[in-house]
Amino acid sequence: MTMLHLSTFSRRLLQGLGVGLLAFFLLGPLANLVLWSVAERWYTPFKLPVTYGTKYWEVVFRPTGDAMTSLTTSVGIALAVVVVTLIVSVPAGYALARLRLPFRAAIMLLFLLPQAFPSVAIYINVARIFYWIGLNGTVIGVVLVHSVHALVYSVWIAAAAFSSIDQDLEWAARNIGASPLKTFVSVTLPLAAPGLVAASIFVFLESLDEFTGTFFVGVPQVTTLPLLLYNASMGGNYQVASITALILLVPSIGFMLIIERFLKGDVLSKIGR
Amino acid sequence: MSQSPVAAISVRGLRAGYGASSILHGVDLDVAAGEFIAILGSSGCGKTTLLRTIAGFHPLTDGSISLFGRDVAGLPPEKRDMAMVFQSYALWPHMTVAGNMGYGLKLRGWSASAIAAKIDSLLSLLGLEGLGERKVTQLSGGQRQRVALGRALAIDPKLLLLDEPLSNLDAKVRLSLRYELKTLQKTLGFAAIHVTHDREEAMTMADRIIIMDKGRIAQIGTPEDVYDHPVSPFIARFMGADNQLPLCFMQKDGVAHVRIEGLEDHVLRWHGRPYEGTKTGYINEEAISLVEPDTDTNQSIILKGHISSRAYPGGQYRYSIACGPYHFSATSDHLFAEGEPVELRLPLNRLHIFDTQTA
Repeated sequence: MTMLHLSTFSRRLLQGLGVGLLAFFLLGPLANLVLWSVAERWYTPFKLPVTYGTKYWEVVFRPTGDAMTSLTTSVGIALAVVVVTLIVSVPAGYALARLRLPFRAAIMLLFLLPQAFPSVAIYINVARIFYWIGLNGTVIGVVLVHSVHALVYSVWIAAAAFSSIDQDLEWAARNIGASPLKTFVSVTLPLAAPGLVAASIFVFLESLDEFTGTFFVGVPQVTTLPLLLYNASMGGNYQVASITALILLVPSIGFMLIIERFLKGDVLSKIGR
Repeated sequence: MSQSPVAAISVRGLRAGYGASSILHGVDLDVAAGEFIAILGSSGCGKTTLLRTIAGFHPLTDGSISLFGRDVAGLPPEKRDMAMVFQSYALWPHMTVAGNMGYGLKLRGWSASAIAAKIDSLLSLLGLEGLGERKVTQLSGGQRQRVALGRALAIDPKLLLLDEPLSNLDAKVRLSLRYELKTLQKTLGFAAIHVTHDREEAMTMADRIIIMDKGRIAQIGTPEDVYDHPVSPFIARFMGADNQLPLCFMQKDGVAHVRIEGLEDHVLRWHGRPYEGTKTGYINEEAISLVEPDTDTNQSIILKGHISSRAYPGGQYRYSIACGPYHFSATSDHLFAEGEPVELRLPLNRLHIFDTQTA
């Protein structure tokens, strides 16, 4: 009996330690961010900020401040990227799911290719080409770079969403008089919507977080939040960097909760098929 | 019911397949207005492909399909005026019961009030009163298939296509829905093609049965035709004539006799239609009776054997009887012990005789 109690106790202890370590590694950096965001003065040898205050929050959220401008730029670019990828991935995903395309697997892999090579090498070349055709330093250029990067998620998830819809559901509509387009709009699209919403959220977050491509194609004219964060932390302004990082966290966590609701197992199981 | 001079649907030389592999090898079939046809066959015989080709879901490679004299072979499914009920129900989960049933009417530009009235009458016809605003995902299998039937009937189709609609339902619901479907078809008078692999379902529902084998029609006829007069060993076995015995016909003293191979003492007077040479006889187990000795052997073959095993599936006993090298299955009300000697009576008129198959 005592042995059993001891072993249960030690198991509990190990579990507690495990959870504690996990929390430390996950929440430790976050706590540091929060601390930095309210530290007005903090220097060695002090373990905690010397003076606290919301001065830097006011700096960041000043309507004329860099942060607000980059936030607007970032969100605008992310929304545009969502639209572009949806325009490509809805028809592409449907075709991949429904039509007996030759080289189907090859086409799916094609969308994966941009991830397969070192991104810096790719972006340097993209930047060169964009420079020739005058897209460097433009929002359109950044949107394009983000879209290519995000297409892999959106096409694969859209294809999975469409192939999880039983084709008889579409035939049932055609059968009683619906045209192919009417069938797509009234049956297929509503049924695929959760998957498409999930894909869009992934794309939105990818774009919001994207750094390398924006760095090579957008700088210096286009400054997104990650670039602002980079500039601030390189310039030693840890307060602004921390606040920017916290702003970036909000949509990530919020959307992850939504995705968890939308992306059902039957869709997930079809990804990559 | 008055039969229209033009067939509800007329299919000629229909061929279809997937890629290089051909599934249907030239199918001809006619369904009269108001007629209920069952297409029966084992899986992979092409019956579902035939139905889907008629509906326009599957392209045909050759042949013609005409609906009341109008050629529909080249038309997309939405222009064919047919309605299908699917094995998987195929109800749209993002719509209510009424939404599903009213979909076809909405496409046809009916007013909201006319649709509501039609749906109400369908709901009561199908025993679904008060369920109009339910989500289809909240319904039982039987209710879902009723909704699917309502969705198909709402548009008053000229032809109803039924793709194994009862296969996914549990036995009790299946039996009651089978009866309801048949009653509805008789009252409303539409023509129907019902695909099934269930022999009893086909026999009890259909006016005529089409039995398919390997992409061809093996026999068309009334339930009595196909059961009592199968045209091939395949049909005989499909209709449950699982007992086989080789029959060797010969003349003895100028009179027809039959010898059953392997049972040397069985040379019997043959009272049936004249045959020559060695044939194979097929007979259903319910046609075989276990009899007392000295029964009138006229119009029958009597075989001596003994009970090799017994089962009680309910109602009657089912026996396996060994007669020399042969085993027969038969049913009887009487209880026999295993090993007990019995006599089997095989009525000649229930014996289907075909050439012996070499394969």
